[in-house]
Amino acid sequence: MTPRCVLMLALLGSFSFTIAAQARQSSAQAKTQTIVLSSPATSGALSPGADSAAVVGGDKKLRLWNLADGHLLHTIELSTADIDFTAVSPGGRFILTGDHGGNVVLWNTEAGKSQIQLRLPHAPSAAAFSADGSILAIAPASEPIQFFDIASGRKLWETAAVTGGTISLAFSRDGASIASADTDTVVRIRDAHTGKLIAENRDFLLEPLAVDFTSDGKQVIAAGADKVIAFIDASTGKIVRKLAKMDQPVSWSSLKVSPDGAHFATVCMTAENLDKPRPVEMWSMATGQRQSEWMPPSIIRAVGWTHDGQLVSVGGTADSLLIWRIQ
Amino acid sequence: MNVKSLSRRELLLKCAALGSLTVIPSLSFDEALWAWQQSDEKPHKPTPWNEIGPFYKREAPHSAQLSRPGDPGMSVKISGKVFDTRGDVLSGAKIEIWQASPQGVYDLDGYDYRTTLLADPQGKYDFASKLPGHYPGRVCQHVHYLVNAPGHKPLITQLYFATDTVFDGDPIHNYTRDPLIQNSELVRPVMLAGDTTEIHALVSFELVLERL
Repeated sequence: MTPRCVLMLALLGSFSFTIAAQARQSSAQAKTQTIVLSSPATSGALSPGADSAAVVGGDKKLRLWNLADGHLLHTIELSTADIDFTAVSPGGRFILTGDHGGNVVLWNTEAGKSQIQLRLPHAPSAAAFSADGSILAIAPASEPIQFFDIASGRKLWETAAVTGGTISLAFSRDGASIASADTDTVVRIRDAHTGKLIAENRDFLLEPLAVDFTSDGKQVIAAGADKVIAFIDASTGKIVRKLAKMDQPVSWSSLKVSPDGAHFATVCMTAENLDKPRPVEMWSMATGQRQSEWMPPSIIRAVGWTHDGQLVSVGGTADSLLIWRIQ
Repeated sequence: MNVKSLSRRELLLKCAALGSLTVIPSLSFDEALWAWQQSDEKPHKPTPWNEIGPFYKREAPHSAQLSRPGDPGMSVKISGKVFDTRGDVLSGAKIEIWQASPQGVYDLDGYDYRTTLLADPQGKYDFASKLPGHYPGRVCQHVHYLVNAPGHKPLITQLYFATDTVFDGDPIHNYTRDPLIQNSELVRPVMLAGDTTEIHALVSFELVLERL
């Protein structure tokens, strides 16, 4: 299990839904949803619209929860609980799972059946769905990114090999481009329809760990172990703006642009203590200034924006899945 | 005195000529030699892949001494050879190494406990360091490797130490206590050397790359 893909939670059985106001050492507040769990979970993920969460339980069941009302939407039986990686498509229609042995399955949640099955050398280290949910990009650890047409299950193309593979993936909102944060410390932007490399940025010395496009698709925001947030021109690969150096690296895939494009959110890791929680920070796209932050009581595993612009963070304890809606 | 090393074929021919090797009549000498070479050239298993982690930093300067005088912790000397799966040494292979300090901290701002080495003409590499520290969020002490050689698939892996307290002295059975370790071959034996004034650990770690 990798830290980035493990929601150290437990799930199942009883479910409760509570909301409580919370304010901790920060200017922002958060309302908390709690899903009470009764079986240790091995992996989990938040959907792109932050409206659902998938959690794999120790009972070999994959469950999809509606985060708006706390209902269990779907349950799928798995052959193993040893899942390393999970990703959810927009609207929760599909869930991707990958195990230690590189067995990767795209599950159709309505039908409870697999849509795509792959045998890869390793579990994915990153994956992304296009905004319309038609294309899936999978980056197996240390391997090229592979693109699939979800409806037909057909593989469309794969990228050239990159040493170490890809850590984070993001489609532009129109689905025309895809950005990757790669372990060779390069940020690459490709045509999502052809796989052709459009631009790349080689200014990072350490690994970029998170990427997302601005709402107009003209820039890619990248951040990682260099502890800087950089705005990259998506057509040239040149850095057009760099924010002040941070104390800690932005964590895996923990940089998300708001639906209206006016803000973005980040969550850092504590490099010397990966178990130590760090605040969720909200930034102004226009000024690059940090506008507010919210300190969670425990470590954040995923962050995302709802379609109406609410910032949602997910974490957990041994017996609960915690969803914080940041005001 | 210069000693010319003989090829396997030359050695066997010489042995046969001197009577120290006899080939049974049902085999020709060439057949016997081929069979001998086949048994001698067992393919090397590729070193298992292991995650690169989030703290790789490119352009680490060359240094065979990663720790500084006065750094705390147990000194360790790590060495090995770089091969391909046919057993050919990969001289000149580029070996990038990074690890946490003995206090369990990665240097993100500089290059402490990071180096780039080149395998020598015999494929050998070695460096001196301190045993990496444990840190919250990761179970075992480990050293990261990224190895590149032309014509070969890059190798990304991690070295673990059999003496790590996490294994309770039984790494063969307990290596999965770190969920990132998926192969016990990456847990290497540790030998203590030196004397009472300077004791250090010795670890050998062979690196076997796959051909492209």
